[in-house]
Amino acid sequence: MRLRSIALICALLALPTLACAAEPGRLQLPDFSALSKKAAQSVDISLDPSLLNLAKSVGISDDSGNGAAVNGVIQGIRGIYVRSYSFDNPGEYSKADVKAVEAQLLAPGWQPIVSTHDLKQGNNVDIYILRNGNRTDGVAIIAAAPRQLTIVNIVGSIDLAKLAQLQGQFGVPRIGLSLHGTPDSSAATASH
Amino acid sequence: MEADPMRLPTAARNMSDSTAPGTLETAGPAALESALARAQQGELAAFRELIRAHQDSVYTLALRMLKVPEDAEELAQDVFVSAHRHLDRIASTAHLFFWLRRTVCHRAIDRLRRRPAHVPVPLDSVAELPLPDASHDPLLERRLRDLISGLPPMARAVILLRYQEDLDPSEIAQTLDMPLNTVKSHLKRSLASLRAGCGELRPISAGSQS
Amino acid sequence: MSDEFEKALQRALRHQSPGEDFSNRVITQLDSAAAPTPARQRVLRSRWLPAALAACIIAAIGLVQLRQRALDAERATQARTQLMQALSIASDNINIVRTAVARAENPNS
Repeated sequence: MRLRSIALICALLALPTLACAAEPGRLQLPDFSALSKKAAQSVDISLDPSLLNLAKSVGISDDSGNGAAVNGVIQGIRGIYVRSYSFDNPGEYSKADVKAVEAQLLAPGWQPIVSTHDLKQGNNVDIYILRNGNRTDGVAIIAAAPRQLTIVNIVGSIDLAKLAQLQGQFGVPRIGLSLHGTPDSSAATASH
Repeated sequence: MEADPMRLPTAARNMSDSTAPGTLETAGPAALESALARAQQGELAAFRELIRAHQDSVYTLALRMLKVPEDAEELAQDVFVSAHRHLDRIASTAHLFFWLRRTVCHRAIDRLRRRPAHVPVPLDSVAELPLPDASHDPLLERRLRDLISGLPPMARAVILLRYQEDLDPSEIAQTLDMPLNTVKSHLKRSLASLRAGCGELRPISAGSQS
Repeated sequence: MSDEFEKALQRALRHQSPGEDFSNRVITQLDSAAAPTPARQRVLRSRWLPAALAACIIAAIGLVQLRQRALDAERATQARTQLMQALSIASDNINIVRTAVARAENPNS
């Protein structure tokens, strides 16, 4: 019995490691179908390695025709997952919805690299990366505002600075959901 | 974060339909209440009456927030489609009045936040119909509209709700989920900015010499 | 605060109409969202049924292959669009943080 208990404990301890070994950097995103029904707008994207390769095969270009920049940014990505919801009223999602994701970012390897908290508007953005030695195995972005919730999980490595520089150049229609600081949000604070 | 999104605010509860501006283009208060009840039963013709009663207000709010007629049309349609989906949670025509203005403001602000910075809006895309009333000053009014379109989104929404939709500051605070003091602050700063921007274009008053 | 100025503001902000047909456009959107896709059935009887069947099968195989290729191309295009959208959302949020960090480091700028 004692041996069985020890074996069970060892197996449970190994689970996170096994999960990471299966696909490092991949978060288990909750089922947000209930939120999606309440949302005024929602974005639900799951591009695993096979779909990602399919996307790359079409040929990618940004608005300026400089596809090389975009191709360079996505070279190291193995998957990208987005859940983003915009609501007409505050209070449509709860902190528990976000906690399930945040708990996974406490696992070994994940580190918060930067976050911003706008005390006035209630807008928060946190960015985490999963490091494996000198290599980045994943990125997680959690952006929470009273009427919006966005979770982005990138599996693999990506140059965040280059990705930021390409803002507005992906040629997508205006249905992407993300927080934007307004000129009024002077109470924003940032921490490293 | 846990507020009931469909809670009827005090302003809408106390508002009578006869004091709700922009709602009486095609029908009186009793007719609109009847239309709402029928629309909630699924009658599209009744919902059309509600659209007609509020379309000018919703569209103009969207237009003055987004500045591009095509975007304003799309947003206005989107708001009414959404209203149809949420009809069962609308308690009265006063509540509908509040809900529509709140939704169009929030969605317009969201769209403005997603819009890339410095998108040039062609002057001729902001179409304004000529106003035949001789007691107005078209230069001043045009200047005011231009200045308002240059305000930050939240301040612009406050000014529009106050002077276009005739809401009082507490109603604006509830519409935009904003503290009352913040509304008053926006009004004070924006009005000062508008007055300064008008310069020597003083408003015409009856009997005054320009 | 000047009453005349506020009156001028109210005059300047008079409502504009989205046009006579606006309500129809909204109703059309509601109708198209609710309308079910009609189902169609066709039954073919012919004494040339075996030959017709064989021809149909051959044509069907070809069509399936063509359709599969078209579906693959469509899937690839959709995947590309989704990828661009995902990158756009990620980029926007990273820039929010960058802007906030820049403001925190240079509060006077």
